[in-house]
Amino acid sequence: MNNKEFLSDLSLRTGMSNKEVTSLAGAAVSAIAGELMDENQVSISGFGTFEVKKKLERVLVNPVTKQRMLVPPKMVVSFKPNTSLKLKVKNEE
Amino acid sequence: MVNDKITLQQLAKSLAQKKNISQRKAEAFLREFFDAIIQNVKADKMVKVKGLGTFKLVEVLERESVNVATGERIVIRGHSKLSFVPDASLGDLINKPFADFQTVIINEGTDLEEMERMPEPSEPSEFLEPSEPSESSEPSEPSEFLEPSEPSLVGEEETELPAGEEAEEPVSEPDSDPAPGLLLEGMEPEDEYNPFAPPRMRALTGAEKWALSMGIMLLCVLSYAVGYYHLLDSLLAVPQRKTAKREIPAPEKASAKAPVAKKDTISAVPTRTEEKPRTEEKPLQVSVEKPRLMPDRKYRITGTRGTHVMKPGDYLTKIAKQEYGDKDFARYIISHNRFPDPDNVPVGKEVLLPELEEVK
Repeated sequence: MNNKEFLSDLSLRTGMSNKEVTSLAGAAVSAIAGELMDENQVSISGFGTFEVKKKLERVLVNPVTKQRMLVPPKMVVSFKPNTSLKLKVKNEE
Repeated sequence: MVNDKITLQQLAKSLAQKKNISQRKAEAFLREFFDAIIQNVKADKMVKVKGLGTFKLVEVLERESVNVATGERIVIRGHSKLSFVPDASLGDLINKPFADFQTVIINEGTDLEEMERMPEPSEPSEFLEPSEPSESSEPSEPSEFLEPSEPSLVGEEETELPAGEEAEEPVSEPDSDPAPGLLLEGMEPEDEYNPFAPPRMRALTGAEKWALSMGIMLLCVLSYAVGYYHLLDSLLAVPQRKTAKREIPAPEKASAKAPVAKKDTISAVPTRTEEKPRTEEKPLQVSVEKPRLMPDRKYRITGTRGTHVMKPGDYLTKIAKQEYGDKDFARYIISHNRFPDPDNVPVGKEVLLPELEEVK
């Protein structure tokens, strides 16, 4: 399901216009992104936790050329589903 | 604030403020937002949310394992996991502080001891793709490159793989083989060079303790020496008055080594001593009196005893004669300062006058 479809579904669920839903969804995502930029965790009950994690620099080896490369450190966003959600999803057949 | 845990309610609050809606409406919207994700990912296996990322339902095949308590063999049934891969825009936003970093080739002979231990690489034939190929959140990393630390990190950091992994269920989709042959470079998370971590404290080794105590002792000795010479200097100021008179007859009998120099000092002394009784009230004043130095002996610079501001017509040999009694001492002044051109020191320049101590 792409973004457009998701927003349409959200519009149906909330009863709000497509325009309003798009605008609110955008603001919601911005809010989450903003918190993550402050290195805060965003924890939604019944859903999961978004977190910023730091990845250290690492050494890669090209097996063919044997050349060694150094990949720089970076920050990434990670998501951990809640236990309840995990169960919900796990048992879907 | 940093490192806070933000709840749905708090998100709703900032949403309400930004969009000028009620807190209740904002919370309700967010609730629907996340429920919609759950519902739709279950139905469609995949939901893309612009600006955030893609949620996917990932199938894990059943596999054999062991009941940790009893040790009996069990089968872990096939099931689904919820995975999340951040949008490129979000990833870039978060990674902003590291945005300009590049992957670099390590040149031959570069010492990576700090970063890792280096066991002999084993069979180089197989390698592991660092993350699920279709979901790779790092499209810039060529997939044929090996991530040597990957296996040891899979269970611990779980950062390479999409989030939502339980420690006991490493995802290795699409194939069910959990541990293909890997070219390990033996990195353990604890041994990795961590630019993020604060410097670690550890107990001092025997050698370090010794070095530290020697350093401290040396410091004590040095401060004693400095204090001693400083005191000596100040004391020299007082007896000068008395010894000056004695010095006048003494140099007459002195060796013929540097008669010219002596003459200068002799002439210099009487004029100074006459002025001295008036100016020198405080016996322990930092020496106004210039200690008598022999130009043909060896001296050591032990510090700075003052400065001299260059006036028009000043030159270093002149200063040396004034301050130390002979123009040959200019070389000490030169080595104590940093002059681009010692022959032409600019007017107004504050020249440091070295504290000289005879090397016996």
